[in-house]
Amino acid sequence: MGAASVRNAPTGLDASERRVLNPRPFRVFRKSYSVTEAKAGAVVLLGLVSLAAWVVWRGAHPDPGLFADPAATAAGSVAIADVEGRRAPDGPSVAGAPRAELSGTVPSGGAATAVDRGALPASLSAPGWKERTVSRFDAENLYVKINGRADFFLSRGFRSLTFVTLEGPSGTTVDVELYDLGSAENALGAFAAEKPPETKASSSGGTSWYVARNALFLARGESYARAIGSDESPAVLAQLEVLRKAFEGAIAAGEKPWTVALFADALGLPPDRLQYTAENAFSFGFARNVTSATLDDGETELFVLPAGDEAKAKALSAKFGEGFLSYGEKVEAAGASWVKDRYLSTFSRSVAAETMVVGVRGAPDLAKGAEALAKLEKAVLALSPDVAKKAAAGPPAAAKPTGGGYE
Amino acid sequence: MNENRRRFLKQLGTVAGISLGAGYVSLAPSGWPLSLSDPDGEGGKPREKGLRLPENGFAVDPSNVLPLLGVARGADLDAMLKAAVDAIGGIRRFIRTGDVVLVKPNVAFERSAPLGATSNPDVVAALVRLCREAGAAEVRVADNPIESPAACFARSGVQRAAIDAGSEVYLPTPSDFRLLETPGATHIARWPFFWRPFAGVTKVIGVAPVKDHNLCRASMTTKNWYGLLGGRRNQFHQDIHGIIADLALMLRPTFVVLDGSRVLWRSGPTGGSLADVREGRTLVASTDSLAADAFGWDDLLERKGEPLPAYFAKAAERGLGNPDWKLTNVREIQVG
Amino acid sequence: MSAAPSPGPAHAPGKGLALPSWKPNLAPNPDGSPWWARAFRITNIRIASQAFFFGLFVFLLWVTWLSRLKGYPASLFLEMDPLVGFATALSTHTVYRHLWWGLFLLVPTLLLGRVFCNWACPYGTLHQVTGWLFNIRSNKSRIEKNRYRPLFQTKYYLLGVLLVMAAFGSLQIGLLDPICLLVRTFTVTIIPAVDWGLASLAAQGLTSASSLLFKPATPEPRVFAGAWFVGALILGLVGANLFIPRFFCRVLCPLGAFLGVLSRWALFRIDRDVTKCTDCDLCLKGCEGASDPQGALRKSECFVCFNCIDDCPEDALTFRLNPLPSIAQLVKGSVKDGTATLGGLPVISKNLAVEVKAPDVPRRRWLFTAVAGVVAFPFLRFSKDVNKRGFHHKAIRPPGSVAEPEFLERCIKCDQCINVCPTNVLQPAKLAVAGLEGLWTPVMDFSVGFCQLNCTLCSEVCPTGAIQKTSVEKKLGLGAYAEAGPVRLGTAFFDRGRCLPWAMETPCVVCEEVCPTTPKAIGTYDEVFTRWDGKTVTLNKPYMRPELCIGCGICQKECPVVDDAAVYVTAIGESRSDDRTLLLSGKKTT
Repeated sequence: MGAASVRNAPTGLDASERRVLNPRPFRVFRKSYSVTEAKAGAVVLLGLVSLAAWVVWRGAHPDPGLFADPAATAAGSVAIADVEGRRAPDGPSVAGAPRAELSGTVPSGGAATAVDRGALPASLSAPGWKERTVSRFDAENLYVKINGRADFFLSRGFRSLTFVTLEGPSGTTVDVELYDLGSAENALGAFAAEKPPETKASSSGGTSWYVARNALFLARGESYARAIGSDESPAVLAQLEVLRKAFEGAIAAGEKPWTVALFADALGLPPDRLQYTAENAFSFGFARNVTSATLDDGETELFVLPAGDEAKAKALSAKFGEGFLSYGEKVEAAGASWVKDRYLSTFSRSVAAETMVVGVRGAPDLAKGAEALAKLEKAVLALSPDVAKKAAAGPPAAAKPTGGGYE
Repeated sequence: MNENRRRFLKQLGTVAGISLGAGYVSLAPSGWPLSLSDPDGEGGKPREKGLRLPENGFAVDPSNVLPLLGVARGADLDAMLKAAVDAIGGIRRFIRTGDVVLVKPNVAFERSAPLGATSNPDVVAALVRLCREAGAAEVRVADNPIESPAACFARSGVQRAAIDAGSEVYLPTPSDFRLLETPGATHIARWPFFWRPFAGVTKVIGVAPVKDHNLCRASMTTKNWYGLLGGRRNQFHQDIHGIIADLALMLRPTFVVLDGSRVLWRSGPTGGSLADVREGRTLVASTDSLAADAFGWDDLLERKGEPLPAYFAKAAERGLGNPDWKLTNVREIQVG
Repeated sequence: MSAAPSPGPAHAPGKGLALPSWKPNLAPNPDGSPWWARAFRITNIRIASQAFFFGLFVFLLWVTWLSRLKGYPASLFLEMDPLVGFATALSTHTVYRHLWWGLFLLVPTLLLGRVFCNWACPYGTLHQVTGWLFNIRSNKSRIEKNRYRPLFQTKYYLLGVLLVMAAFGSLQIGLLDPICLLVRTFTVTIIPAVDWGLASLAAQGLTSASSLLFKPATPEPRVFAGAWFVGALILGLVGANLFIPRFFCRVLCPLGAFLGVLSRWALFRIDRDVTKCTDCDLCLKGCEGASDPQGALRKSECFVCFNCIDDCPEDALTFRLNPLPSIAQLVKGSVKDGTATLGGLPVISKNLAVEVKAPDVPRRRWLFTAVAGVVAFPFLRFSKDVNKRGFHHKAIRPPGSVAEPEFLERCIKCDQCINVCPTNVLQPAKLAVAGLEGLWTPVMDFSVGFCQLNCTLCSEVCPTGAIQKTSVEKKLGLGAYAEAGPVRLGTAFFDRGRCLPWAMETPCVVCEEVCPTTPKAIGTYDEVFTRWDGKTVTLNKPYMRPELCIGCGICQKECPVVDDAAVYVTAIGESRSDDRTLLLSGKKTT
C-alpha cells in the first residue's frame, strides 16, 4: 500500500486494518513478464474450453437405460385371486358388535343358482327382455355392490337388497334394485330423500313413484325400488312401466303409516313431501322420530313426533320451544308464544297434543302459521290412541342413526 | 552433469513407469493379467467358489443280498450296535484300514443324555470303538449345535464319551465354514457348511436319536445332517420338509445308526422332562436313511398307521431312499 | 505501473455518484514485453482456471437432479480424484467404471507437481478466496504465516492410516478427502441454504430465481440428518484460514498428501536462481503451499500457484524442467566470505539449498502410521453395527447397493447419491445406525421420503460402485431379470396396535393404495363393522405379502400416523445380502 498508515488513537488500528473486506490491491513485484507464460496460459485455456465442450457433449448424450419406461419391458404380472370376505389368520379381530351371518352370495358375473328372490316379483321382464342372475346382499356385504351409497340405506333400517339386471333389445339394460328397509316409514323416507325437491311424485293405492328420464323410483310397503335403464329409448321406458306394475302387484302395500294418514289424508299434502328424520331433527339432539312435511308455500314446515305419554310430550314441546329460542326472540300472539327467527323473520312454535308433539317451523306469516298449527293439532288429536301408542314405539327394525359415515 | 542427467533420466523413468503402470492397471481389458479394470462393477462382486462333496457321497456299493435294515433289541448297547451293524454286512463292509471316519451325532441342545434330546453318548462311544476296531486311522466327532457348542457337547456327555473312546471332537469356529454346492437342491443349492471336519474324510456315519418334532413331526437320521450347516438356518422352518429332502440329497452317508435306546416321544425336539422320554431298547443300522426313519416312525414312535411326514415322499421322489421298510430286507436280532 | 489502489466512488457535489474511471492499460510493460504478457500472465490464467473449475463443480452439482441430469458426468470431480481411485483399488482390487479418469490428474501431478491443489481443486479455491477476502494482514505478517511448519506433516500421517485401512477393506478416505467433503457439505448444508434463499427471493416477486433452484419442484424443503455437524465442520475448517492460510490444504488434506508424495518425481519445479536472489523473502508473501520457495523448495508442499514468481522483485524464480537438484558442489568459493560464484556469476543469496524432494516425514513416523492403520481396522470393524449379527434394522441402503462388507470397502461418503435422490429419502447415516465406519454413508429414512419406483439415479452417480449401476429393469426385476426378481431394500411390517383399521375402528387404506408393486405387496381383509358410536364403517385391514414387498417405504411415508408409522420398513429381507434375507425362497440379487 502506498498510503501512510493513520493511527487512530482510541482503537489502535490503522486504516487498512479497519477495512472489512480485503481485496488486495493488484500489485505484483516482478520486473519482467514472459511471453512463454502467456503462450502456456493460452494452451491451458484451450484445455479448459475443450473440457467444457466435452461436458456439454456428454450432457447431450444421456444413457437411454437411465430413464427407461419399464412398462415397455414389463412382463405380465401375476394376478392375485383375492377371495372376498377373507378374515385375518388370527380370527375375527372385531370386538363387540355381533355380526349377522353372511346370508347372501357374493356377486359374480357367473352362475348363482337358486337364489332367494326376496320380494322381487316373479316375472319382471317386458316382452323382448330377459333376466340375468339375481343376487342378494345383506348388511355385511352391501358395500360390495353399492359401496359409497351403502350408508344411506344402512342408516334407514336396511335389511336386504335384491338385485337383477334385465337385458333388452339392441344391448339396452335395466338394473333393478329392490331394498327391503324394514318399515314403511323408512321406505318412504329413503324415497323422499333421494327425490329431487322439484320433482312431483305420483301416489296412489299405497305406492309412491316417479320416473326421472331413464330411471324409475318407487316406494311401496317396506320396500324401496330403483330401476335404472341404459338409455331413454322407448323399449327401456316400456320396461320401466312393466316393472312398476309388477311391483305394485307383487309387493304388499302393508299398513299405511300413520304419518301418511295424517299428512296426506287429513292435511291434504302429497305423501312424497314427507320427511322422516330418526335422530337430530332440525339439529336438535333431543328430536327423534320426527316426521315433517313442507306446505305448498315451500317454507312452512309442519312436524309431528310421538312422545309416549302426555308428560313427556309437554316436556318435549317445551324443549322445542327452547330450541327455537336459540335462533330468535319470543313473540306473543293470541295468547300463544311464538319464536321469531332473528335472521329469517319466520315464526315457529311447538305444542303438545296429548301424547304427540306437534309444531310449525319457519312460517313466514304468523297468522297463517297459527292456522296451519291449529289444523295439525286437530288432525293429530283425531288420531286413535293406539295409533299414537304404536307410533311412540318407533318404526319396526329401528333405523340406525343418520349422519355421515366415513366414506 | 552426467550425474544430473542420470538422475533426471531415473526420475523420468519413474514418472513414465508410474503413469504407464497406473494406466495399464486402470484401462487394460479386465481379462488381462494384473488388470483391475471393472467398467460395470461385475468384477468387484465377491463370488465365493463353492465346494462339493464327492459325487456319490460317502456310500459304499449297494448289495442285493444283504439286509437293508439291521434292528437290534436288548440292553447292552455295545453288543446291540455290533449286532445291528453285522446284520447289514459287518463293520468291515464299510470301514477299511486307514479310513478317516466322521461320526455325526445329534448334539443340538444343551440337554443331559437321559432327556433324550441328544444322541446317547454310550452309543456314540460304541460306534467310535467299532470304527477303530475296524482299522480306521482317525475317527472324528462333529456337530454344529443350535445352542452354545461347548455347553452342548459337555452337558450331553458326548464330548467325554467321544474322547474316551478315542476320537477327536470338532467344535465349530467362524473360519470352519465354507460354501457348499449341492446341485439339484431347492433351498440349499449354495449354503455355508461346517467344512473343517470333512477335510480328508473318507467315510461318514450318522447317529441320530428318535425324536418327536413339533414342526416336522419326527427328527431322526435324515434330519440329522441339519447340524452340518451354518448360515441362516432359522429360515428352514418356512419349508422344513423341503429342507429335509434337500439334506438327504446333500449328504449320502456310509451308513446311519438310528439310536432308539431312548425315544423322545413328545415335546420334541427339545423335550425337557423325563416324562417325555421312554425306553426304546432298540438300535437300528441301515444304509438307507428313509427306511430307518420309517421304521422309527412305525415302531419306535409307535405311529404306525399315521401318514408319514411329507419329507419322506419328497426325498423318495428324488430316489434317495425307500420309506417302505417292510418291503425291504430287514433283519431283526434280539441281543441278550 | 501505478500501485495506487483504486479510489472509492467519489462524491462530486451536485453530481451524485461518480464511478472511478478505469481504462485498460495497453502500453507495453516496462521491460519491453507486450501488454498481453502481463494481462495473461500465469497467475491470471490460474485464477481463471480456479474460477472455471469451481464454476464447473457447482454446475455439476446443480445438474445432479432428475430433470437436469441427462448425460452430464455429475460425479466428474469425484471420479477424477486420484486418491479415490487409488484407495478404492486398494480396498476392492478393481478400478470401477470411470475411476480411470484419475489418470488425467495423476499424470500432470507426476510431471508438474501439485497443480491440482491450486488450479482445479474447488475446496482449495474456497479456502483461498476466504483467506483473501477476510484476511487483512501486513506483508510482513503474511510472510511469516506462509513459512513451512512441521504441523504440515499431519496430512501424511492421516494418509498413511487411511490407506492402510483401505488395504484391509475399510474405506475411510471420504471423511477427509476434499472433493468428497465439499460435495457432502454442498449436499447437506449449502444447497438447502441456497435454495432457501432463492425460494425467499422468488416469493418476494423475483420469480426468475426459482429457475436457479438446485432442487426445483420439491414440495417440501430438503432436510438431512446431522446437517448441523457438517455445517459446523465446514465453518470451522474454512474459518481456520484466518489463522493459518490454507489450513486444510496444508495440514489435513489426504489428497494433497497423496499428490505430495507423487510430486517427488515431478520433472518441473520452481527454481531459485541464487545469483539473483537477495533473500528478501517476498516470495513467501503469496506462497499458498508454504513450500519455502525462499530456500529449499519443498516440492511436496508446492501448489504451483506461481504467486512467488509474481512477487519476486529480482525475477530470481522460474518454473523449469529439471533444474539442478543440488548446486552446492557447483558453487566455487565461499558464501560466507561473499566470494561464491556459480557459472561465473556472483552468488548473492546466502542459502544454497534449492530443493527438498520428499515430504518431510521421518521413516519411523511412516511406520507408526502404518501400524496405527493396521490396528485401527479391527478396532472399527468389530463393532456390532457393521456386522451381520446385530446390524441396525434401520440401516437400509439404496437400491443397487452391494452387501455391507463390500459397501464399506467402496463408499467414500461423498453423498452424491443423497444429492440426486428426488424424494430426500436418502440421509447421511449417524453413528448409531452404521457405526463410525458408516458415518455419512447413505441410509434410507422413510419418515422423510420413499424410494421412487422407477428411479435409479443414485446408482448412476455413485463414483465407486458402492451402489452398482443398475438399470430400471434390473431394479424392478423385469425382462431379463424376471427370474432373479426385483431389488428389495427391506420388508415392511405392520404395527397393528397403531394401525387405524386394526386398532382404532377407523377406516384407512393409504398404504395399500400407494403400494407400487404389481401385484400389490399389501392386501386387505375387508369387513363392515359397527363402531363404538354406532356408525357403520368398512374397515380394510392391511396385511403384508413379503414375497412381493420391495421395501420402497412409500407405505411408511404415507401412513397418517406420522410420528411413528403403523407400517414401517426394516432392513431384513433386503436382497443385497445373503444373511439378511427373510424368506427361505428369497434370492440374493447382487
